[in-house]
Amino acid sequence: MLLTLIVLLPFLGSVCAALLPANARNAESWLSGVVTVACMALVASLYPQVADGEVVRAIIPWLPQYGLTFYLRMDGYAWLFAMLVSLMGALVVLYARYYMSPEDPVPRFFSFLLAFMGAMLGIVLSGNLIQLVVFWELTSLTSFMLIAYWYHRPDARRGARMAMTVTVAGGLCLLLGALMLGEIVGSYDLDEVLAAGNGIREHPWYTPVLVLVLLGALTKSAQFPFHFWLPHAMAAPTPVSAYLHSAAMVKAGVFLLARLWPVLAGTDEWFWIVCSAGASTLLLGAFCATFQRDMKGVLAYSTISHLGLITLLLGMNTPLALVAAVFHMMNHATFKASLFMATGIVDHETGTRDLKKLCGLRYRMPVTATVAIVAASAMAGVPLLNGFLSKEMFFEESIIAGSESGLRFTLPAVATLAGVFSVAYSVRFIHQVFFGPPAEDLPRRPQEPTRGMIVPSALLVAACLLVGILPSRTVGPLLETSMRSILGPDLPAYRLAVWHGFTVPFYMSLVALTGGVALYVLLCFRKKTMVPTPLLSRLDAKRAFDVINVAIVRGAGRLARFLFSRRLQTQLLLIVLLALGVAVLPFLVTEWTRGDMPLTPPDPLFALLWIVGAACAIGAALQAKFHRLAALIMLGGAGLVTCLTFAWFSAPDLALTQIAVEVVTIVLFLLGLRWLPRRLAFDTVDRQTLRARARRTRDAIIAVTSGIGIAALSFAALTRPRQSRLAAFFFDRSVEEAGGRNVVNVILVDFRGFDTLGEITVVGIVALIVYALLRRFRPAPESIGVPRAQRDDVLQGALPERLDDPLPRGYMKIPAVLLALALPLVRVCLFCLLLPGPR
Amino acid sequence: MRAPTTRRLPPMLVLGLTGMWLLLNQTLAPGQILLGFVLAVGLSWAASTLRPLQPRPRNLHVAVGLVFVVLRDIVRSNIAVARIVLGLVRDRDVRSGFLEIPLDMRDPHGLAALAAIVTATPGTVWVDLSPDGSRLTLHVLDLQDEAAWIRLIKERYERPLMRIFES
Amino acid sequence: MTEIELPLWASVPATLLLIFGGLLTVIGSLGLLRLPDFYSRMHPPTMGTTLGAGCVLIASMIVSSALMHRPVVHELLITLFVVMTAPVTAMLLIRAAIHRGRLRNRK
Repeated sequence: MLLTLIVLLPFLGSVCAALLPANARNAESWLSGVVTVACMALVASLYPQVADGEVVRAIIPWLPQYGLTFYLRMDGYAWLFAMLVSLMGALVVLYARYYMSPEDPVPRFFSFLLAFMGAMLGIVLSGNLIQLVVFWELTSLTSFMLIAYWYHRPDARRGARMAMTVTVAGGLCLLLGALMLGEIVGSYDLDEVLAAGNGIREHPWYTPVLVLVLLGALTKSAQFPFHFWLPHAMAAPTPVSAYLHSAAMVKAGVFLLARLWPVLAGTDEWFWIVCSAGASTLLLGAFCATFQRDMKGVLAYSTISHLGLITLLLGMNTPLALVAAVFHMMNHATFKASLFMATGIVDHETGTRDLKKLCGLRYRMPVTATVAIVAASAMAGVPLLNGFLSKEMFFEESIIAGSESGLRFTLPAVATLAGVFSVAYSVRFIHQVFFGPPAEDLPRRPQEPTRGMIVPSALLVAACLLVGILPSRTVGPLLETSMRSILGPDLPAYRLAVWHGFTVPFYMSLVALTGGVALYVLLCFRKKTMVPTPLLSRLDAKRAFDVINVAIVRGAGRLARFLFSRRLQTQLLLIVLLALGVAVLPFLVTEWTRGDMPLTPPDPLFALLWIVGAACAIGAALQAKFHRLAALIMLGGAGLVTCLTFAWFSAPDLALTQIAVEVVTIVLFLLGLRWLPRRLAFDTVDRQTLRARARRTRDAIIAVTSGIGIAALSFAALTRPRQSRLAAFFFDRSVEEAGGRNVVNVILVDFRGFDTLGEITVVGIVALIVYALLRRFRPAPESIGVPRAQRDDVLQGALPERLDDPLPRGYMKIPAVLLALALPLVRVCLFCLLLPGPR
Repeated sequence: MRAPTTRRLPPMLVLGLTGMWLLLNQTLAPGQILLGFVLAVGLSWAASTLRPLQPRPRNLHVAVGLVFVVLRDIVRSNIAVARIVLGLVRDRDVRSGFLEIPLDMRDPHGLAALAAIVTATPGTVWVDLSPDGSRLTLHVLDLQDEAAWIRLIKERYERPLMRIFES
Repeated sequence: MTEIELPLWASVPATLLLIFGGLLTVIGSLGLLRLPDFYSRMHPPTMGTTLGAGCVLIASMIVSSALMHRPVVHELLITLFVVMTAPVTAMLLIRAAIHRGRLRNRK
């Protein structure tokens, strides 16, 4: 029960937040704050149960026959992450309250933020693979809405689109992987999947499943080669970057990898794929971060690099590496979010994030500077901070894994190099922004921000310090609970201490620290701190993305033009020919005979009806080109005859439907006719050329053949005795089991209810789209003018002139009165048809 | 047309819609009465922006009399037009033409009722209403005596309608 | 069509009304052929829609009441709808005709 509340509360909060007025910053923040703190409290209250090693479950059955249940599951690992997500959420809400300017429409922001939090909690607590994928896609969706928050900015729109494309494509791969995994195991329940590790690893489908799941996880966590969307997602407001793109959403990918670690890891494929992705991302991110000019850009690439570190650790196939990975996930979230918030503060107070312009801010903003310096030191891996601890574990694991797999020197070397760059960019970040002479030409005069903005950052930094100094007391038990829940009794012994002695990892850290500082000093010396990224700035991922998109669209267009035609007549010709071809096939198989069923005697009145109908149809065809209104009327006549046929054969609802469709079609056609140009005076010479006559003859032959062919086919089909037993089945069951007397309606609503549900959904979506389109509807200028027939009336003053005339004057007054009265009557009839259902 | 800012709930429309609901469902069950009433209130409220002017009918006994008069006129004019179409009127020359009638009634609902009556009787068709509402143009199939027609329309239809809608 | 037993008091008036209504509609349609100009041709079809439809509706009400053994009167609503919407159609058609006449006069 508590579990469902944890996931449900943010969504409810999101709906409430959406309904508040546009500038209620305080109300929104209070609401969001209450929701996030409540979630935190609920999660914390479940700790005692989880710490004992027990798994808290909440199961809500939905369609048990199909195995669809809503299954929430919290073990130690999920608890840790849920705590992280809700805690970060609370801090970000506090931060956002002061960051968002009064002109920003806050309801949208907080609503999507809370929805995102709910979706993230859903991923973390999900006990069913398919459910996890649903929440996964929800996070992609809410992330899209949040990145495009300032949608008037083109970079925000582009960034959002890119992020959405990449993560949703990954989500699709993940769905396929989850489906295959469920097929292998026989169930989508996470418990059963986690218990079936060996079976999955030896299954022939292992590699495809691995690749698909990895695609999903790596796109979400911005690993190479899918890392390019994260720097462009920095167009989002800073609270969004602090929450989504450092602490929560990008961690979903590595969360999934750690969650499925007992199932998928341990093989060579896992090692090589995951480690190479992680290592390349680690180096690439660190390298690029050293040369970014935007503060958020540095942090974005740094996030990519640290996620690469986590991925590399996860790929190493040892339990201790898994421990290190999870530990680093937590640490990274704390210091990175804090750094993003500090960046946001600098941006808010000075108006710019450009490292070239910023300088010497520590004089004006001492508290912010201190917080940022400590957080950056954690990022670099300075001792006594939490980053140092997890980096140490990383170095140690890289040595162990390297020696096991034959990469004895490569892996540690990669790790150290990445450490060097990481120190370099951290030092650069701090030095450029906070040190040096105070800057003169900033857009705004910097000053210390309001307390509300700095408190979340400071709290996170305090946590970094606390964990760094006293790890085994603070985070030790939590880490142990979560690791025990993944690894079970195989948890290896490790020690979370600040000082392990003069070990190789310690020397590696030392090398990294000194090397990084040296690198930065070198760059400063050579005046190369602000150059574009060497070698890599030529490869513009965004441009590549756009080029690929455009190529796909153009290719599709060319294919369509090659295979098809733009002219309506040619399209219709092709469709009819295809239908004719398909309809001929049955006649090739069986010969055309009449079949055995007896024919009913012909009814002269019915035949008369259809002679009229046929005459209307032929007349419509003859008049269609030049006398459109007449053709339309005759088309209506043919439709009317069809409707009468339905009524003749005792199918009143079909007749009703037919007439409704007929009326709507005619009205739409008339509206179309209104905007078509008037009849052209046609040139009789053109009409009689041989080519024109040949074409008309060809069309006539095709039309007549198709008509006769379809008629013959229907006749042949109708005169054969019915083979299926479906009719008997429906007739028998309809009254007792479904309770309705009208079999057709019962089929629609009961036996084939899902079809009807799908159709209603489609109609609902279309109605929503129509509403959205019409809200900002501006008709085309050429159609606003008064139509020709009304011009005389305008001259006579028959249209309403003054805006407060309730009714038109002149001859339109009476129709207006009558039709305004008719509208409620029509609606009553509508409800009368809608409500009772199958009678 | 700017919508009026206040929305009113016309009682007659609500009653009428409830009655229509009951009639359509062919029932008098109390549950249906309640449902119909709720529906009628909702729909009338929703439609009230389109109907800024509400009719105020009075003297409903006049309306009952008018209904009977109209029914009788419908039957008679049907037979008259049928005779004209079948060519059974030989003793005079059937000419059709336009007729202009000066109107005293200005209430739009009364005019709407008049239009319904005129259209329901074959032999007369409503053509035009002048912008200030003072002149009505009809087309009559069998126009023998203009003044007689004008008298007929005004006495038999316009006067009772004015008593119903405008007094 | 299955055989339905109708009592005499229902079947005779219903039949007569149906025949009468049908005849009126046919005469109305005949008028479309015989009368000279557009404005005159507006009148005969209204015979079919008013009294013709009215007769058919009354016949239907009589037959349904006889079959269901209770009064069935909801078809009166059809009359209401026809009465409300026929003037609108007629007025707009006449306007279109006048407009066309004016165009022709100008030419």
